[in-house]
Amino acid sequence: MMTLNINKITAALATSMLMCTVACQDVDLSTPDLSTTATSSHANFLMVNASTDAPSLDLYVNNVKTGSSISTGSTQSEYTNALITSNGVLANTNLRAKASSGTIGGVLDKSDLIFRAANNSTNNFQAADSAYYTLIVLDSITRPKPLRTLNASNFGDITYYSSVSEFTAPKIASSGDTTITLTSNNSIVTYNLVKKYNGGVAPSFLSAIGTVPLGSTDPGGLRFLVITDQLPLPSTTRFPKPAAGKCAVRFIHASPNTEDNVTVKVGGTSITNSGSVRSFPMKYPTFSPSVGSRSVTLSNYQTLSSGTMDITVTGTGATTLATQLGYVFDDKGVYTIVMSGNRNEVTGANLLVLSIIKNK
Amino acid sequence: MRKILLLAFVVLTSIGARAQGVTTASLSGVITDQKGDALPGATVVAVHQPSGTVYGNASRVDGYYFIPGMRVGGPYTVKTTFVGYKEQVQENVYLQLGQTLQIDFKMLDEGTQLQEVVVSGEKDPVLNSEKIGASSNFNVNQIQNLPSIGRDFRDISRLTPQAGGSAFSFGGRSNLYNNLTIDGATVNNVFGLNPLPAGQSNATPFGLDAIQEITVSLSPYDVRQGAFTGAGVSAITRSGTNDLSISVYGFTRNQNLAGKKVDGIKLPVPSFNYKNFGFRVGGALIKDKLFYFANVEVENRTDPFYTNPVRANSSASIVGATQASDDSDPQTGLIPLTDFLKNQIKFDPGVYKNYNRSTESRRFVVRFDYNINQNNKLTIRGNATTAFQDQPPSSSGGFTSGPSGGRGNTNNVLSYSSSYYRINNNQYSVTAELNSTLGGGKYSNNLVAGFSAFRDFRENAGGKSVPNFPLVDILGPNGQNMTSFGPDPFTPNNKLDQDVIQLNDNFSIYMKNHTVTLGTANEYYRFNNVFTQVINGVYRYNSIADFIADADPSTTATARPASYTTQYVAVKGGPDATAAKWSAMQLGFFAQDEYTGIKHVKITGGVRVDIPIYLTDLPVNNYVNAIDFNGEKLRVGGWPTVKPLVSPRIGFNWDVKGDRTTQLRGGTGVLTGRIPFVWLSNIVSNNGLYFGQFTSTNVPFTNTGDGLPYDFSSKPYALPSDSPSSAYSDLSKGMPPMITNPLDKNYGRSAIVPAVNTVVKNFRFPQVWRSNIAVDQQLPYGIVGTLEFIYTKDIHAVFIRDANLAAPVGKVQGDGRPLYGAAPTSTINTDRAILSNDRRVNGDVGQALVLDNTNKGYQWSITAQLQKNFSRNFQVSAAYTYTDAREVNPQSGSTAGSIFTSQANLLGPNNPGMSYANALTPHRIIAYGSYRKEYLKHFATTFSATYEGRSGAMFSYIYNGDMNSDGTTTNDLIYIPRTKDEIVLSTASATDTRTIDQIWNQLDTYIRQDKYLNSRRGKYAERNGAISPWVNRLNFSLLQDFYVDVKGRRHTIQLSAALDNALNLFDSHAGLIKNPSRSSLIRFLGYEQPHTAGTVSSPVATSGPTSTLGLPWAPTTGRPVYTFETNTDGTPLNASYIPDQTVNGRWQLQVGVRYIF
Repeated sequence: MMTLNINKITAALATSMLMCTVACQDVDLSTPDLSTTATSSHANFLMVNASTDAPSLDLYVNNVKTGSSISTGSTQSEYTNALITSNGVLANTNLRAKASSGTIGGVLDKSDLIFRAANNSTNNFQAADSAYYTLIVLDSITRPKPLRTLNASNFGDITYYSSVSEFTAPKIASSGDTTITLTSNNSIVTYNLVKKYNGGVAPSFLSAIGTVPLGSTDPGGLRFLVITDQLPLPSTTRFPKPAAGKCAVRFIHASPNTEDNVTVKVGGTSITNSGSVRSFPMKYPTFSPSVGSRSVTLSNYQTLSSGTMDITVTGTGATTLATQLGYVFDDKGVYTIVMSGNRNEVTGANLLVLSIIKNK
Repeated sequence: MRKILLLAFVVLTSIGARAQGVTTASLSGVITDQKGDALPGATVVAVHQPSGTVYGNASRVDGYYFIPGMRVGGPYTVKTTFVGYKEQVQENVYLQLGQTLQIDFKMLDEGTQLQEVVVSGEKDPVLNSEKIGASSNFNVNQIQNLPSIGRDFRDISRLTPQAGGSAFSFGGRSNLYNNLTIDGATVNNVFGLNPLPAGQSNATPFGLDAIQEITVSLSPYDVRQGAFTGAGVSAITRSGTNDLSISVYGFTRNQNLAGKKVDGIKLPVPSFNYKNFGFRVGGALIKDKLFYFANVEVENRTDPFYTNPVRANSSASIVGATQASDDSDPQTGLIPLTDFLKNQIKFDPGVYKNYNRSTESRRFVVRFDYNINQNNKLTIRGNATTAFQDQPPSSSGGFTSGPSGGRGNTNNVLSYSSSYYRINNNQYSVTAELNSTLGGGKYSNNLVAGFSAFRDFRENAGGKSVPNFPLVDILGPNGQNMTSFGPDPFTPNNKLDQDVIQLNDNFSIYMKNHTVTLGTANEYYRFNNVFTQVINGVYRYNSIADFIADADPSTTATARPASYTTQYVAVKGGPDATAAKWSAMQLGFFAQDEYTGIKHVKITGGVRVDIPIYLTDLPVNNYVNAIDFNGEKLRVGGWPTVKPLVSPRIGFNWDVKGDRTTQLRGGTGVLTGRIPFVWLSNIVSNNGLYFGQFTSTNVPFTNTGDGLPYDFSSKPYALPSDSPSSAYSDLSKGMPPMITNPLDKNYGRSAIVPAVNTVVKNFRFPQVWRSNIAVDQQLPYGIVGTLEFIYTKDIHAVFIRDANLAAPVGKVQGDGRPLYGAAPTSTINTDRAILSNDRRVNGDVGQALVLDNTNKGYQWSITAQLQKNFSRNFQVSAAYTYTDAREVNPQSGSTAGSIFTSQANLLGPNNPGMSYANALTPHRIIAYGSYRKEYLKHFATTFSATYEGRSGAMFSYIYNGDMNSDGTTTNDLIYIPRTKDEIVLSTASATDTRTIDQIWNQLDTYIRQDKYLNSRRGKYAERNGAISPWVNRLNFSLLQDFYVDVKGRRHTIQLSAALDNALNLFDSHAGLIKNPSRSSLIRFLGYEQPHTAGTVSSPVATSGPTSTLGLPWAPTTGRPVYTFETNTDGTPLNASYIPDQTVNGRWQLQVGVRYIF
């Protein structure tokens, strides 16, 4: 009979261990190839407080304060150069306005005013490196959150603002209802519901402004209009370069309850309907579905001779809505005129007012 | 004279057939005279006392005797006789499954008056010449006594030292690579959607009361064992005996018998109710001849589905509640939506509150043992399991992404009950086994024939039929899914039939010093799988109003779905025509020799050949097969070539000192397994011919209907399930559905052939080379110590790659890993050429997954174990195992696609590299013991405990998002930055109030508190490189018997209590399972300069070919930009792990009562 000895076993064990040494490898990974240059993308922001009733506001870009104490009807004196995360990223630069002291009040109450880029809430603003943006704070702090009505068999598609501020949100008890109940401070008022597509008439105190899908994150109150003034080349969105003796002026219509068609004259020359590529005047709010903020690209400047000029805005029936007399337009200057305020106010803080921004 | 007697005894005695592989046990030994000389011709007779079954044989010329094919268990009385010698008797012999127990007899002359002990044996199950590889055995006492509140045999099998922390994996290999047999017949879920039959219903395939023994075999060198590269788990069912034996039992637990606190925080357990009751009966139909055994049991459990409640009204606080409200709020109220569906659409969406999940299984086992004669013993066993479980709707979108927030009940989502489904797993199995002795004991034969049928299908929850209605997801105010109704997208038509027919035969020849076994093991498989994902369409609306506006048939639609996705059948015959109907077989042949010619050494050597054969011709996709994928041609419709897989194995057992106090054993050999057949079935059904797909997102809101059928009120889901004939595939030409389908229009179709699965011509089933070496040592106080080393090297592991993933276009800036091209344009494109910087090699085809092999991967483990068997009533074992396991692909997905997309990688999904295995548990301590004491004549108490201490689950830190542009958002390993300069950070959203510096500080603080992340700063995270905290689990079981003995028979009432996770009972901070709180803690937002597509007016400059329809992409050049995730309330993540708050993470008590006769 054969016998085994311990040496053979030791050899076998050693072989097993060797097998492991050969085969036991590290996890397959490569070496990081790092680029650690600090992000140096910057963009330029200029905030206009064009609200009728907003408090003094501070501007924050990526939560860093870049503008302070911009009161209603006023504007930052110049663009603020702010560090943005990077350019090109679809959702990267966080824009917000906070009350310089206390809260914003109104519908937003304690909340900040936040730029929201999309319907379902929370996307950031898309800023590009070296670009220029004008941020206009629009509307009233009491602008209600857009709400919907319902008809008997269907949810409606019409958004109504209640013109009577004490009315709260319309609610229905069940989809079989044919009436809408609005609760005021002291009474409950019941109206027949508006039927879609059948010529139903909305209660007179409600005015339709457009379609808001449910799920909207428009919180009501103030909102941002962000205008892209200049993008880096090769973009065609550029500040104009007026020749010597000339200036460039554009107009933003930011009064929520003023008629769409206004005529703006600077030094007697109409700068409206100037045949630029985009329709003008830009009435804002044009309805912005579901988002309490909006960004547009607006570069329809009108070139005028520079110098001291009067600005007049007239509405339907040649009613003078707002004037700014004897404003000095610099040679080669680039300007934006913003009209904000409440059409119906005759006196007080919420008069229609023109803010003039020197962009360049 | 003695020689004549010898001959006579050889004729008169017999041996049973030998099948110690999986269903029986054996007895062997050497018979000597007083001087130690071999005594040929002595008779050994073993009688299984409970059944009177007689086994016997005579000793050979060398005094050696062998009795194979014996019933597992006992007690046996073993008697040896020889003329002129005193009879020797050994009582109370018990045999383990698969064991060959060695008992040597020293015969004394009749005149000898010595009273010395003359029977020497190797009654120890470890110190035994048959023990060669690594294996663990559990007997009926352990199965009955050790704590298992799920009454689940996996609680027993996991006591194996090399078992993993996750369910039913062993040695660091995927649990899909095990093979489960009952009574020698395969009952494995060979299709492999779950490792075990009925696993999808969370049911076990057989009740614990039906089981006699379980063996877990990791490194068998017996070539009769096959079909696994993980572990072979063999169970045998109980048999009847001459005495009638009855046991009736019931067990229950609920939320009142479970921990109220988790880690010191009071959190109520949602109410649930578990019941398990049944009976077993065994006895003799003919005494000593024909026995029966039956076990019937029912297990059911009710759990709430409804854990995050609906808000009472839209202004109620939403903490813990869903977005949806139980009122008529136009944004969130479900009452008007329910009314609209019921009254206008005439569809019953079911309920949206207070509904429960049912889990139920019924198990039947019946077994007959027939002692035909002493040479032939027949066993027939049948079992059936019917099981179902209600499941929440899948959150997956199928071939597109699912809704953000998912569909199950969460703090956002509350789906209607019509979207919940029921999975049914039914299994029927019959096995016959014939053990025969031939040639007067010179030969034995073991024949096993089996048939198993698996019938899995789906219904709607509650057992309702699946309505012909699409699934509708409606988003809530926060943009996450708020509610869903209509059947789950994977449920309509979903069914799987599997038939497995098995025929095994082993023939053994017993010679001096040699036992030669020749055999064959053959399995035939037949599958019929219907899987028609998203066949009814999935709509997504941004609001309830949008849905109603679109769906109301009485109005002109003014709203459109935010997205619409559907898959249509592109062959005639409807869903059934798309069934993956195929069959295959695996033939196995083997030969081995057990050699005992070296003193104190046993060597077993053999070779096994397995031949997988595919029997079904598949439709060929000539369209795809003609495409050149960077030099590779695919074989859609082609099987791998038939090639035998050879598994040579050799093992030894050496009794070093010749007294069985020190034993050295081990071996080396090849194991050949199966892959889950679902991976092969994918190539049958995903051939690009059976289905067409349609996806439309950002459907415009217009008042003018464009006639497209995704308008809900035009009911595209009600179209015949056959699509228009223009959309049919031309199977005779191997052409996919053509794009004249009206569904296509200009929307959504990204590729002519959405996705294909193929297999390489030379694909091989998994093979591993496994070796082990072990020392077993008899220690003081009767303790046996074992030190065991197992090493496994993959020879053929499965590797899945996407042939249509183009080579990287560059490197991710600031990171260095490969960067892939941009996603193909979503508009239809009939002439998609190869575009520069495109992710796809060919735009006509989507993902083209190829099943391939790799030889990378290994596992090894070392185990130290101490065992002591005080008696049948008192056993203790404790073991520590260290395991390392590496693999290229995590071999644990249910489809090739899920494996491919779920593996975290650094160098791209086609180059995942080797890393830690999914199933790896590096450190594990397992200890168990049981003690029974009878007292005061009528009482007995059995106390048992199991302790498991183990490393937590391994996981990968990945980015949330597709930072390398490979098309998958959950597979990119993170880089762990050392400084702020190494990562470009940004705010997460418009409402994020953190500055960039604050975001970095939060991330840096998090990394610092996490040991793994902090240790890998400046490096990439590894796949499965992070380990969750250590888990301690202590379970107790107490059985209190009250018995009376009447006429020699005992009647017992047994009360039982099983305490799961006892440490947690004493301290709510102990016994916790801590899971990663967020493994994807860094969200990818985008690149500094992302991919941009060229336009016709402004094409991107490129050297590559261009197309008028698909213009090239400018590649990404910027660095990735990230944000650090926050908790939902905006607070920073600050701890890596959170304890499991479900009932599984707390203590639970189960009580039961049993009557035993």
